[in-house]
Amino acid sequence: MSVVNLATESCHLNSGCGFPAPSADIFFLEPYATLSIGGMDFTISKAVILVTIVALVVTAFFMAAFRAPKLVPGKLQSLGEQAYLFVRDQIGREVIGKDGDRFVPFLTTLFFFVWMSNLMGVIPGAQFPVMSNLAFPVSLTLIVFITYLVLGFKHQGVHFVLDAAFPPGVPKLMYILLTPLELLQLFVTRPVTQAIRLFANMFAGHLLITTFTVGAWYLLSPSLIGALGSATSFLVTVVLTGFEMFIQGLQAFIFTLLTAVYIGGSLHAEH
Amino acid sequence: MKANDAEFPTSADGRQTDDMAWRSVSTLTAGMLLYGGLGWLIGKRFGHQSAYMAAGLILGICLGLYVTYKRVTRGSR
Repeated sequence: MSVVNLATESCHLNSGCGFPAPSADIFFLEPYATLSIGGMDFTISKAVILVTIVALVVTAFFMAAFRAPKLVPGKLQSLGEQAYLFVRDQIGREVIGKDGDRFVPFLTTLFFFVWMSNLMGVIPGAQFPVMSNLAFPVSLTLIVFITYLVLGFKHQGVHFVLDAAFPPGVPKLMYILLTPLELLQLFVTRPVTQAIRLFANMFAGHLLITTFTVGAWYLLSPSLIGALGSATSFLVTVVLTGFEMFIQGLQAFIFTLLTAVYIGGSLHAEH
Repeated sequence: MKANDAEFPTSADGRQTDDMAWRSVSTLTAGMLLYGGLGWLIGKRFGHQSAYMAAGLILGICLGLYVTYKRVTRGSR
């Protein structure tokens, strides 16, 4: 990566070297191995390895927690139960209602998968939020959106689309203008905004942290401005990392909450 | 809605509030995309492209706000 190269080549203030500002390039990871099966690209990069680790960790945690459930739970089991109950009470029952309980396993998996993927952005050594690569949020959103459509048609039939396409309490003539808008909203912008919200938050946070980290290294030089600037930049990096960890949890929560809102909307018609 | 109901919102109320909050974002985006894009296309054909696109964007925002307003007020009655 260019930023890393510039930073290691003792590129500092007053050494005739411009600030190696990180750009979107840092999100295009160098492939470890290129692989093509039947014309499809299966390149192995850091993001692929991280997402595999995340999937394994989340699976292993919940399997270990609930493999042999006891009436008086041990430490691991009670941690797993708290995780599950958090999603059930804060998202499942709060948003979908009592009949949302059967979707809680899906929501719990989604929440912890997204959260752990985001957390990879601040874990030393990994330091790449998987969800800052647009393909991952898009894949998750597709799973959610297809679930939403299937459940909607199953429980409400054609009314699922008709209710959305023809908002009530509107003069009939307005449907000419409003129906295309509402259909576009339902089928295009709704899933797109869900994916982009997660992607953009992780992208921006990672870029911000990288900028201040590179800044702290670049400004490190034997001058008052350099020393002060470097110290400030380092401090901001630490603060931003803490803030970013909050955002990572929040975005995972919002992604899961939206999923629950959609599932709830597909189960029950609006009144 | 009775006063004592309002103190304990059911999950349906909570969901519709959440749904409305997130839906407004995608409705406004859809309005701008659809009518801004339509204006852009009309302008491409007949000239004055930026004027048509601006008019389309404003129309799209207005329609998005209108439909959001209609859906919200219906829920609170």
